[in-house]
Order: sequence, then structure tokens, then C-alpha cells
Amino acid sequence: MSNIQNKDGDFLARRRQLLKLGAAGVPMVLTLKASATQPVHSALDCAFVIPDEVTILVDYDGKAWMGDDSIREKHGKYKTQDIERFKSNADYMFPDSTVPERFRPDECDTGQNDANGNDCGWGNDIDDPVGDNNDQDSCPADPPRETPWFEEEGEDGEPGNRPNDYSGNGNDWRHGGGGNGNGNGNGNGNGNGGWTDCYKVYKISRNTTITPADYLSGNGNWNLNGANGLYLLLAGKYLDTYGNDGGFPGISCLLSILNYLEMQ
Amino acid sequence: MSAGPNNDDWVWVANPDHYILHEIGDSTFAFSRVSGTTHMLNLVSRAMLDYLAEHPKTLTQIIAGFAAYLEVPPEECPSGVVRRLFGELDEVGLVERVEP
Repeated sequence: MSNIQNKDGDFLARRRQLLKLGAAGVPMVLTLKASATQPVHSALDCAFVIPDEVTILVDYDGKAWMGDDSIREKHGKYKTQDIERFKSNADYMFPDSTVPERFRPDECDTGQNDANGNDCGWGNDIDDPVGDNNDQDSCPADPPRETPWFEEEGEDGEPGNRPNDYSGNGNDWRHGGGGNGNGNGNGNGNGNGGWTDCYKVYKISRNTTITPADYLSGNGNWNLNGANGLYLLLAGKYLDTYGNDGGFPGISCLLSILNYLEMQ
Repeated sequence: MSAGPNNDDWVWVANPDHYILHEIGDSTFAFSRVSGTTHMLNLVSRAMLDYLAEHPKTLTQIIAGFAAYLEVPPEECPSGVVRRLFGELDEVGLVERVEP
């Protein structure tokens, strides 16, 4: 038996801690790669399964929300009311500029009342909670202002100083169009607000297996694309912010790879 | 040889003649003479390697005895973890199947 088995209490505690990581899926054996262009590593083989369908909503500023609500889509535009509900119920939120431009919407119509004036944009500024929408009854409330990413952004953390957001006069074109629409109440027949193309939606089916190593090039650079690539990108951001708390599916697998890459 | 599919009659061992160990802190670097690759083991995978080096065992015996070897309660060492740990060592060639 190895002398490593000559153990004290601290040694046993460290080993038990590692055992817990093993139970969480962290690989216990790392294989050093043979060359810079040929990564052969058992940690890179890890994969994880998305337990439930995941929807990722990305806005024009690079913010992202992750959740499992549905968002109706028509001709490349998304139902504004669904967007707001999705944001309110999102499991995870990521601040401005989190998502690279290649994942963001290609364009963002200024949304000048394209639904018969029934505009449900985030038209309410802080000083005027009711905003100047005329059709509040058919619109969802503004999302809560105490969301975590809210405080993380801006020089002084004041929500009101964020560009293109709540500090505006209700005409924040990036979030649903002009809040000063005439709001004649006709809506689109169902009172559910308008449609917006200022977002992009990515979906990952339940039981999808993601193997992060598939998104690594031979020289160890990430090549993230598609919905799964975006998921990995957000998982990495989550890891940076919150660490490996186990709440985000796939974090342990991703962490093992990042640790491995750092060792190279 | 792969650990899965497995057969309960198969017995497995880690042969110390086939690797060289070098310890740095809690980490152990295992150079496999067979494959020519080097693997980094933590305290748990190192313990598994030592456990397998004691004498040949079936996978069932490995699963049944590893918690006691680690001196932890069985609930802290689920069979799935032991199986996967064994699989990781087998996958890199540090475990060999031998005749009973």
C-alpha cells in the first residue's frame, strides 16, 4: 500500500471532499496531452445531458435569459408579452454584452406600433412607473428592477444610468418599441401585445447531450456555435460569476475542462 | 480492455510494474509504461489505483469494498461513482483484466 494511505484526519477530509466532486461528475483522472495539437484527455470526454427543454433568449445588447417558458414566434418576430413573461420567470439572467454579436438578433425593428398601437414595450421609466403607454391594461408589468444583473452593470450600478433601458422616456426601441404609441386598445384582437424582432431565441431539446470537447479546437480554443455552443458560453459566464455551485447543468463538466486547459 | 460491458467473472488488477508513480502534494502523476502517456490522479483515483493493485478483484468486489478502503460510509461512495472511477482508470490503461 502506498504511503499516501498513511493518512491523518485532514487527508481523509480532503479525500472525502474529492469524492463528493466525483459524485458530482468531476473526472478523477486527467491525462496529459501528448502535443499541442493533439489533446487527448479524459476530462475532455465528459458530457452532460440537458434535463429539460431549455430556451435561451438573447437581446440586441447581448443580454440573455434562460428558462423553460415558451415564446411564440411568427415570421421571425416574437410575441412581446411572451418575452416579458419569459424574462420574469427566467431561471438565469446574464447582463449586457454577455452574448457575442453573432448570437444576437441580426436587426432590431424600431417597432413603431406594429400591432395596431398595442405596444407593450418597457416603456416605463423609474420616475414614472406607469409610463406613457395608453394600453397598460393589456400589457404585462415591467420586469423587476432588482434583478441581479441590474446591479452589476454600469459605472455606479444605478439602473437609471443604463443606456437604452429604463432611464428612457418610454421609447426604448430595443425593448419593444415606442412606449408613446397611441395604444388604441384594439390590439391584435387578443390583447396580447405586439411582436418584436429585437430578440433571438435558441432552444435546446430535453435530453440533449452536450460534449464540450466538441467545441474545442485542436489548439485548445473554443469554437462555440449554435444553441449548444451558446449554452456552453453562458455556462462559462455562470462559472465565472457564481462558481461551481452545481445549479447549472453541465457546470462540473465544463469546470473540469477549464481546469485542464489552465494547466496546459 | 474496456471495463464495459463487464462480466462478473472477470477480475481486474492494476499492475505496478506497468506504471511509474510520482507524487506531488495530493496529486500523483502516473506514467504508463504500456501506453507512454502520463495521467494525473487525485487522492481518490490514486486510492482506487492502490486498491486495485492489492490483488485482482471483480467489479462487484471493487464496488463492494472501495468505501471501506477509503474509510468512508458507503453512502458517501455510491456504486456509480466507484464504477465510473474504475472506468476512468481502465480507459487510460492503468487497469488490466487478468485470468482469475
